[in-house]
Amino acid sequence: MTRVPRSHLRPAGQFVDCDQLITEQGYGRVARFVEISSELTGFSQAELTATGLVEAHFDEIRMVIGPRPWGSFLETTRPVPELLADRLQGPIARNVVRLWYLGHWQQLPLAWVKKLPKDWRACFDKYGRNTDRVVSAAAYREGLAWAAIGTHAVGARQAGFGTWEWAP
Amino acid sequence: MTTARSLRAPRREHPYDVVIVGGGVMGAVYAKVLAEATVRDRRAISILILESGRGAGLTELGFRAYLETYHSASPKTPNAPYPDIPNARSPEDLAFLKPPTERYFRQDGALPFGSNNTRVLGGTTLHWMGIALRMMPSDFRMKSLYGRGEDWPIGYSDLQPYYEMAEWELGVAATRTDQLLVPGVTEAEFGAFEYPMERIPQSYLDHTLSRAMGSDFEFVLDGQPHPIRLVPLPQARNSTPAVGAGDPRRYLDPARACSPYRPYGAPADPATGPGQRCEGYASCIPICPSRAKYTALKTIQQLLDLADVPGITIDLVTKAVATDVGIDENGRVAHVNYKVYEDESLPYSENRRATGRRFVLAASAIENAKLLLASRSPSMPTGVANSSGCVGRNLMDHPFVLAWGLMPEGMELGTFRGPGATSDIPVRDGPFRRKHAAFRTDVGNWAWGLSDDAPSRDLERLINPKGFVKRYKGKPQASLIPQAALFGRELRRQLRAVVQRQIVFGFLMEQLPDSTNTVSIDDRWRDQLGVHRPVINYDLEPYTLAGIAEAYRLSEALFKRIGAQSFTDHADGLGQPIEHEGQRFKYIGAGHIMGTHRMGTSAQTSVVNQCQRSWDHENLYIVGAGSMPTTGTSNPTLTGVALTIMSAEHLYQDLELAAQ
Repeated sequence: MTRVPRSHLRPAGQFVDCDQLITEQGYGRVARFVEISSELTGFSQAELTATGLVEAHFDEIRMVIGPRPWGSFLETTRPVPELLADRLQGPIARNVVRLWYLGHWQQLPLAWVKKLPKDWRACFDKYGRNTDRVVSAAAYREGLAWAAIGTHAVGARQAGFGTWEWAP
Repeated sequence: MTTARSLRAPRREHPYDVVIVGGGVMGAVYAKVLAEATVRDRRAISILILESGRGAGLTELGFRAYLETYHSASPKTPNAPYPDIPNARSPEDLAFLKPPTERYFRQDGALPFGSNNTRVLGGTTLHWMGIALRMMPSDFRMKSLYGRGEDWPIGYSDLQPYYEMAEWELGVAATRTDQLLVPGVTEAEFGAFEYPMERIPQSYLDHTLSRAMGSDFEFVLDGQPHPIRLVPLPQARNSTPAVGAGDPRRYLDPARACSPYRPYGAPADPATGPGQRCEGYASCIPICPSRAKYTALKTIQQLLDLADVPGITIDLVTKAVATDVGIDENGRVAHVNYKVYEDESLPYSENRRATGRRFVLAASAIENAKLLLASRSPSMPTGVANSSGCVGRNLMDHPFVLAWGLMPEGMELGTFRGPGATSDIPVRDGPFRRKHAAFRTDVGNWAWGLSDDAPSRDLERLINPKGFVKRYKGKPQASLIPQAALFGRELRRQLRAVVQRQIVFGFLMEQLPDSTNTVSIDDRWRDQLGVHRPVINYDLEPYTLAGIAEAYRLSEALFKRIGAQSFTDHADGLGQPIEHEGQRFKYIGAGHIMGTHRMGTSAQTSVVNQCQRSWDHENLYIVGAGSMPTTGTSNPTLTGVALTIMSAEHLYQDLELAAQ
């Protein structure tokens, strides 16, 4: 796995306190995150909340992409097809779906990072989490792809002896 | 007497009756047969088991840690839940996914050997699927019947009683009458025997495909029609104990036999024992959360309980890597040298020596061969037990090839539910074996999980169709990508619509013994403890390649018959590309490592005799699938266990144990 090198992220000589920025951007926008997530995934806000992962996913994305791109994503009121087609917002929207469906974060490539306004880049991937990975065991277990398909997260839920013989 | 769960050092200085190298299924069953027979005869025995890896899985917490690791792993490969520790590395899961320099196996051959094992207490049964098929009678006589491969020194009827005992030891769920549906199997082969547990139900997918195929489907192989049908697979997985089935294990004291069968569950967890039935987690490979699937941890737990019986000493030492076998002036094994380590990562170990009257190598086909070769000395320059020169030769697998397709729109198969495969399409025997490999066919219940990374890639195609346009140009796959990215309820609906229609056939191909397919050692390639890493030379012969071509031809005929569209993609799918007569295919390993210490009828052409005893050293036994002269098409664990029980009976009689 190739990491996006940090030299591309932080303009020389400029100090940005990312921790401070991330902390300042509290949970005020969580409600909006659930709303956008519901539009993107096709699962109701109640279903998403029931996973217990709303805050964890919110934090995960905020910690990787940094507070400003995340804030701008949550502020958008554009229709979803436009959002998905956007060169900056589209990859974020798809990662929102990946997180909810499979608990998976897909690395945002250097090309995407380079499109960020310069002063947004400083806080990108502050914690070195921008790699292809399952973000947590819980995120995998609660993955909604399985429910969408009509089954359960394999290895994490059980349907009971012989249920595989019944119609789905 | 109580035995610690895993000892840091053996408790005895004086020789053990039996020293076993390897804490997997073969070593565990070997020890169990010896200990049970000793209990039956009111004698005394001392057994030492050396395991190179960790013993974590025996405790409930340790097993939970495996599960948690699996949940957060990406990709979820067969060894993903289990620790790959620097002091006892496990081979990579798919030789194709890692750069050669990072692999445990040094691969020098024309093609990569695609299978691996797990170096941890319980061994590879931790990640196996649990399919427990007997071999066909003809598999033992390939040379006489078809002029291919070798004949075994024993026939099916010699092994039959041991198959029955092995099926009870592992806890196989199957129905006798189902197995008679396999073309080439006759009633005589099963006698009055009943499996210990009722069959695992076939999946909804199996029933749907079976109906679509009809009962009269035949496929022409080498000019002769071969019946094509779905047959339920025998599985080492808890279902319901069969009423009226009698325990065939003659090494058990009658008071310890269990009729009907008593299923075993989680080791060391009284809350879930007796054994829970299969709950349909749909993750047999790599881990069964309900512990319904047999793993050697169940037998090891029974061994630790047996150690409480007066007269029985069973010491299990984990994190103990055997390095070489020492031979005395009479040609008998005197000791096994091993290294024990405490920290799993630091390259620090202490040298120890295990002495005994009898020695059993049960460390997997590859590690067994490696250990024998690494035991070379000035008087035995080619290694121990190797006067034939056969040690490490004839390495075999069941090359595994996939064909995948989609059922018509609107159909729902119930994918990603239940065990990975509940049915087989057997093409396991026929006159065609003169020309090409036989095979059997896993009818996959887990959609395109292995062939096309479902459901991840399905999701990817739907949310990011642009990313696939170039890749799918001119291929049927182009029909899988929508015009524009999907989201919301339509995304949810489409994901279901496609994954519910996915079918996959996995063909397990017979492979012939070839003395140039080898496991060897090279002083340049060692692990951090200085222990040799296996060096592998591997290739596929035209016999297997021609079989693969026939299997694909069958897959296309099957898809046509059941109204499915083929999506098999030999360029883009998982695996190693190969070519046969201008056609391109891909294969991966089945995890069925066989043939490196073959048994035979003479010391010149084989490593062990039919009791798995070394021709060269009368107190050395080498067991497991490595003893198999040919592969047949059955997943080899059950056969390996049957041979192990046969060998253990022989060793027990040879031991002449003192009365208690």
